[in-house]
Amino acid sequence: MLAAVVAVAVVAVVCCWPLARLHPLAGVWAAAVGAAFAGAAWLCADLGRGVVGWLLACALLWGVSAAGALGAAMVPAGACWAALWLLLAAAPVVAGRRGPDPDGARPVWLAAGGAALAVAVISLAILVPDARNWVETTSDWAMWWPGPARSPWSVAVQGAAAVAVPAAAGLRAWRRRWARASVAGLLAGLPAVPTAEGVQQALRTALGDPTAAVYYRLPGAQGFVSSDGYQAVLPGGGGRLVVPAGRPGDENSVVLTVDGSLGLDAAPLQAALVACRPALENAGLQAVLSSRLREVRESRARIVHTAIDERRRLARDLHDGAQQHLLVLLTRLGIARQNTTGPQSLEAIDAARDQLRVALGKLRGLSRDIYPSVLDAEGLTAALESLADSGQVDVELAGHPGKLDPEVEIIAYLTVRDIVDGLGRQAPASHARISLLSVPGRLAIQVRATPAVAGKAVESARGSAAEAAGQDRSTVPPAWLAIVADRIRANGGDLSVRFEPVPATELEAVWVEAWIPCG
Amino acid sequence: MGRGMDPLRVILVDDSALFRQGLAGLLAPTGVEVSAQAATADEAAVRIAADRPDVVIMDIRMPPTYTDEGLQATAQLKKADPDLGVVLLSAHVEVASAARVFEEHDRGLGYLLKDRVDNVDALVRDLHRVAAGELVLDPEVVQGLLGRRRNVELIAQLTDREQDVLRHMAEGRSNQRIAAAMMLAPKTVESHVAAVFTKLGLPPSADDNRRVLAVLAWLRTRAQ
Repeated sequence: MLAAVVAVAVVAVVCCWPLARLHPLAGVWAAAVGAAFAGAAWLCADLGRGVVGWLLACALLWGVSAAGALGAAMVPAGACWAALWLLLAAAPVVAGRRGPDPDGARPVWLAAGGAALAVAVISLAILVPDARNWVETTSDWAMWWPGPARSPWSVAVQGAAAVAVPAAAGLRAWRRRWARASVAGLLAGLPAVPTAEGVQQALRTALGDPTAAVYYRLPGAQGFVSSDGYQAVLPGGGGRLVVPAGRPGDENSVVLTVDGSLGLDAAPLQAALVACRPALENAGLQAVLSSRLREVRESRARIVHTAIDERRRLARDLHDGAQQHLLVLLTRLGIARQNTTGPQSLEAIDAARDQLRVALGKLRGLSRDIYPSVLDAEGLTAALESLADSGQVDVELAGHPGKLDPEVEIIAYLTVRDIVDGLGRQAPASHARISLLSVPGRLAIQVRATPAVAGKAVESARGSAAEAAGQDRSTVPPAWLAIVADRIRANGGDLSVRFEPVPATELEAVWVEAWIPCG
Repeated sequence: MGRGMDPLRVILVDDSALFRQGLAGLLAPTGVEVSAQAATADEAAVRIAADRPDVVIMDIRMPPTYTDEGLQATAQLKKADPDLGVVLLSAHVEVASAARVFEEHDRGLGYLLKDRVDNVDALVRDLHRVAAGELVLDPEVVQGLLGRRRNVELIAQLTDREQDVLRHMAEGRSNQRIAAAMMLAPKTVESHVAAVFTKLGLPPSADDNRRVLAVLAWLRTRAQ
């Protein structure tokens, strides 16, 4: 391609050389116009062979007609000249081959093509001897008249007109290349696997538009996701330029929007986006993935949230419903007892009362398991104290986090309760020290449990699944902690476990560290 | 026993009308007069201002939030009238929070489990004690305090008799009442009480209520 361009440029330039005999400047100028055609062809290399061939043909015709302008071969020169303008008149066709008019340049091409066509028709007309004679004999401005160069002025004006078309093509190509190069340069500086936000930032910097945004269509759906993984609606109108940037045939799979008032052309933008298509596609996958992940996270948090609401509602229903009715029943039985004297009836009533007390006790236990009433009434510390009073594990509480969001409190409570319960099942005689620390933005829970029986808590508390998978078994939560970890993580926190030998004993202590975001 | 004492006037505060009716029905033959009933803390305040009872029987969980309306109402009533007797009824055994209520009020206060109401003789006795300014704590709550791991170890050094005395003290009984309940001579009870105080390192106190509070505070203390 480059060789062909250079060859045509040389031919066009050399052909213009005879004009230098007419006037030195005319020769230089004509050679420059030929070189401009060839240069535009080189810049437009990526627009396809058609465009390049068109521009090279123009360059050749320009050179040949300039050579013929010595006057020795007026008719061939005039024919070449007319052919050149006919060829330039085809500009709208050549430009239109790139599908829709992304940058609104078509009217310019049409105007240029129309003007060129007019010049071509007049040039052809001059080839008819009568017409030429009429022009040369009757008008003072014959030297300006289109046709093979007759004077330096003629060459200058006609050359300028002729070069306008390739110059426009070359300018477009150059802008496209520049945009692509600057984006490519930025992308080269991105990490090996650029993030969607990284790519968007690179484009913002390259385009000088801090509002530029890339959207990716969700596969199998109508919606889009923004680069930060949120579902989004494409901003339409509002002076924003929307540039499709997906693969041919699926252009709308990736869309760039830029501030329309910046006057950026769609074509160079598209070219720039082609340069970073691999990065864009990678980023698109990431954005879609992070959107999906966000959905899953949000739904997980909703599930936990709903479960907690359900707990609260159930506990309240038990209190207001079953428990109240049983208590009323208890008073009725009491009244019945006051009014009874028969020993058998008294015995039957007492037996019923005993059963009723058992039922009330069980109901209280159930209600407390579901949602401890003290949590809402007096907060986390009181609830944990109460928990410490009733467990199988010797619990030592440290730290008073103060009043927290009710949801954080119940999650913290359930976390501690499930850990204590789990420890109780695993190693009944263990001692647990539970520390709560409220720091800005999070509540930290730390449990250090020491089993009283050697090896007991250690082996059974370990995650057998983790061992089977060959993972580091000292950090993976064991199965009985998995549900606790799930609840914490669903709420945006985290939980980790590690095991540590207790010095000078065969015991192994288990550390559970968790945190919950709050505030 | 309530019978034979001055008729006691109480107000029932509970959001369940059926429970209030049942309780009023239980109290009717005992000589305790239910002078008014109320479904909310605000309504109770109006009734109490209009006609001061000896004791207010107050549910802890009531509308609107069903958390601790009864506790808040108690604090306000006691602030206005420290001698007014209040018996709190709890649907749950919350040892820590029950013990905490007694840190704020040093006389005429009871904390009973709702299940307790069907033993009407004991209830009437407790109402009279609260009306007389004593402190009454539900045996199950006391059991919870005594059952704390740290407490179990320390209490193990007491003899069985001394442990019973400690339990009675925690439930709010004076030496006289302990003697009556355990069928012991007052002198014997006194010596047991002295032994408990010495062994547990409690500051001795002549005032019954202060003694109860000291015992509760001791039971509530946790190793930090």
